[in-house]
Amino acid sequence: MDLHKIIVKFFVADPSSVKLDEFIPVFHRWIQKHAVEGTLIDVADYGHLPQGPGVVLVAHEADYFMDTMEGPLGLLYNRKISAPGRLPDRIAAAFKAALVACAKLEAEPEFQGRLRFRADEALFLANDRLHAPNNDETLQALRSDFSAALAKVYPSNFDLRRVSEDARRRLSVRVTSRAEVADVSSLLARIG
Amino acid sequence: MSQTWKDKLGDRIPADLGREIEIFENEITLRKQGKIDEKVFAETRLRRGAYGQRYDNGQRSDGTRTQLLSYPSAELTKGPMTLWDAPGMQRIKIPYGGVNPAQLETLAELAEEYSDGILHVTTRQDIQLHYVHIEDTPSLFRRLAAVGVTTREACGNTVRNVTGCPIAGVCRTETFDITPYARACSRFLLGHRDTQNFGRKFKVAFSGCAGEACGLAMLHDIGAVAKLVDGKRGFEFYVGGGLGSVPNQAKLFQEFLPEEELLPMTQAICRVFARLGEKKNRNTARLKFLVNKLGLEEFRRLVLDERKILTPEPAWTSYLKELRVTDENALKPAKALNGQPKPEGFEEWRRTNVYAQRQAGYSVATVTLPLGDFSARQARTLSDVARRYTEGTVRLTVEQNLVLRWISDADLPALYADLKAMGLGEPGAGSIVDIAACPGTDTCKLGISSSRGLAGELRTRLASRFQQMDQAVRGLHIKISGCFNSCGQHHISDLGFYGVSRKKGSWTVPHFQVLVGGQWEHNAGAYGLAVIAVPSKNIPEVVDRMTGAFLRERTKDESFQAWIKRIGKAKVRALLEDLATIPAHETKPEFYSDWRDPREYSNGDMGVGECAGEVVSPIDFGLAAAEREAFEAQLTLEAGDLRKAADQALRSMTTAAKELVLTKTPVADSLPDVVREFREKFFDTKLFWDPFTGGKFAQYFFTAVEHPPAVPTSDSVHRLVEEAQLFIEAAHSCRLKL
Repeated sequence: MDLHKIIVKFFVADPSSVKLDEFIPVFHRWIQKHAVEGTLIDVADYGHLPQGPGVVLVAHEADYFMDTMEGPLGLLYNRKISAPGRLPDRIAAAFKAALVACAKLEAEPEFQGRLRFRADEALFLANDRLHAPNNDETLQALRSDFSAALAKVYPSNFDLRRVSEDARRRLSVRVTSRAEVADVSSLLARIG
Repeated sequence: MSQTWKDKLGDRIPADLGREIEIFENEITLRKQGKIDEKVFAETRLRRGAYGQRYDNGQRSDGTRTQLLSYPSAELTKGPMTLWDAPGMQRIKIPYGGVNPAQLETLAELAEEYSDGILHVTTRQDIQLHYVHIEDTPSLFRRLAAVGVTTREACGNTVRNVTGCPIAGVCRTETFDITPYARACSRFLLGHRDTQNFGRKFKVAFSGCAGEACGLAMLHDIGAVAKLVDGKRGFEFYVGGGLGSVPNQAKLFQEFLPEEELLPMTQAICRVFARLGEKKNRNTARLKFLVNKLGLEEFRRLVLDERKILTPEPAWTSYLKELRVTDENALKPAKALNGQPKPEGFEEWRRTNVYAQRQAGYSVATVTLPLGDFSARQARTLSDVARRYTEGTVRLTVEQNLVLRWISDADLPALYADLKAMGLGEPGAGSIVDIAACPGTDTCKLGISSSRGLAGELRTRLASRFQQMDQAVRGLHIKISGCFNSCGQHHISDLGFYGVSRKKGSWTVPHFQVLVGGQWEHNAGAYGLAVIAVPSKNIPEVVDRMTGAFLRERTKDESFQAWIKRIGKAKVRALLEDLATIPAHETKPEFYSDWRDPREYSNGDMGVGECAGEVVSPIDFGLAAAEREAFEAQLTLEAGDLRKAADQALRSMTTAAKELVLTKTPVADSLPDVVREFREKFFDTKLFWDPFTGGKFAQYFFTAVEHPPAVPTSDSVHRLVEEAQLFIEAAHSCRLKL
């Protein structure tokens, strides 16, 4: 499948533990320190919208959202520019980039002890209605790619479920681990 | 080969639009190969609504230093100082704000796939997407074209979006529905051969009546206000209005322009503008300058002569045979609200957000969009809501909201519950909490202060006490621009703000100029003037003081505008004077960053801490004196002494120029000395030039000296005072470079 625009989201375990505007200075600091890969450009604040993209760290290759548009609050990694490799490599790379950002956020001094991301569940979105329309056929076509991409992340296997049947929406797949996972750091350790 | 949107959409794209998009796609390829000049490509993309965006020159201050942004196509540009890979803004024209559910769904898709998930409504009923890559635009255009939307001529020196009252056709006070006329005008002018050679943009607006504000006819190049004479339809026809840095009230071109003359007369104006309008100096290229230069009578004569020689076109009148083509139908029968269960909050929302249509049993519901934004998810849900309650009759408004028309009254509670569920059920439409703001420093290259940050802050504070507010305060309007360019329409609100900056020792501090005296009603009937520049972080206190004083001092039923006029600007300034003081960095560092942006404020690549201590240089004193003089000119103007006000305005500019000159040369006493030295050392060297407007502000000074108004009029002195303020602002900016 010719899919390059890949989104991965990890949810905050307790959304009430943090406020959206707390992420604004953190993302600005990430730009100052080049804390994550890529050409980091700016921070956009959409905290005034209850079902919106929240706070966005805009970059050339991929944006990082503290998002409330695709379900409850979570870190949403949106790959915009094609990553190298085959589709399973690209999916795996997006999961890894999202996990790296989650782990960094958890470790930020403002959030230490307060912010924790759920590691047993993630959301995958295909941000390309042309090549990956939201239907069962697309999900079926992607299953083998997921198996290859997430073998290391969820070695005890995982379940895939389409979030919505609404054909207008992007293909959105909930990925749930069949085994318990402690935290995002342990997921990252598995990926290496 | 991978499938493309062009393959998929095929003949759903109208042939003419498809061909244009194909040409643009080829131009992208040619630019990447270096076969099209960057300036030519810039105008090409602008004419398709693809703007540059802040930091697209590859530099950004991160609060500690200026970082270079490294992009893969490092050397390639899409315009002068505009890097190819840097994200840009895409403006999408929505004529008279009319949008249907299918179009909303497509806009949502585009926001998700090519932007950051946000749809932003502008003060001219457009939609803007931000952070768009130039190479995504052909697909974006095709998907829009497939649902009948074009971005053509959304920017550039073209006829921009044709705007109109969002409640046209259902309004209780309109003379007649202007929708079909706005639609016909938009279609007629789009791509017309006579609109392709302008020196500057050209804006048209329609209003159904003279008394309300919906169409804002008075601030457009052409403003058409519906009028009936002996039962015949036509328009009160205005020309030469505009905001921008120096606002200009439109002038009455014709008391009654019969409907069949609307398009040919507009065409004739376009031809005169294309032929005689300024082409080299973009700062004086809007129609308002041509009208002022020629005088209204001469301009009218030229246009009428032009009208006589036009070759008739079928489009001039063909639409008049099918005027009802834009008529809307209700989805549901009219039914009263009586007895319906009402959700919590409904009554308050209904009071501010519901307008009873002239068609009994139906209402218009305003969906208040905070800062003009709604998310892709909300857009999709809104399209469902529009289908559920209406025949898809949605319009965007110049107050950056959205209205749903033809709601059966009985459906209002259910509609409110639906809007509330998606986070869009806030009350306060058209009130003090419904603040309009341009993008400002968030994304605009010209932004000086954070207009959206300030708007968000004020909105939060005011909304928290909205229920307890006096009705007189609730009804006030606040509008904010990030710079003097008026995209937030700060001139036409009760309280207007535009972004400026000031020096404090080695620091630069974000400020806003406070404007009072503007009028939103009567199609933007009066323009406000700046009274004082206040640090951004003190603006909420400005609002509190102004509204508090208004409540205490107003006489019965006195409007805010009338109160300002009665107490005078000197008192307003005195009320706010202490708020202009910038506290020391050590005690209040928050004053040195802008709203919702923790970076230490910078309006360029200026370093921090280069000067020792808090030494105030003579030039700072001098520029403060110039500001004072400009303000005195305002007061004199207010008192009606036009000649003296003009002299004071000129003196304030001279003071500012002299202070700059004195930094380069020890003596400059006489006016000719100051002008000569200023020209030589600041204008010719381009030291005084603004990166985007060039030498425009210096020209204000030269013109004031060399061509003072022989007989000062209220309009000309108002303009001179405004120009003096802008000249002084430019002197402040120049001072930062010294």
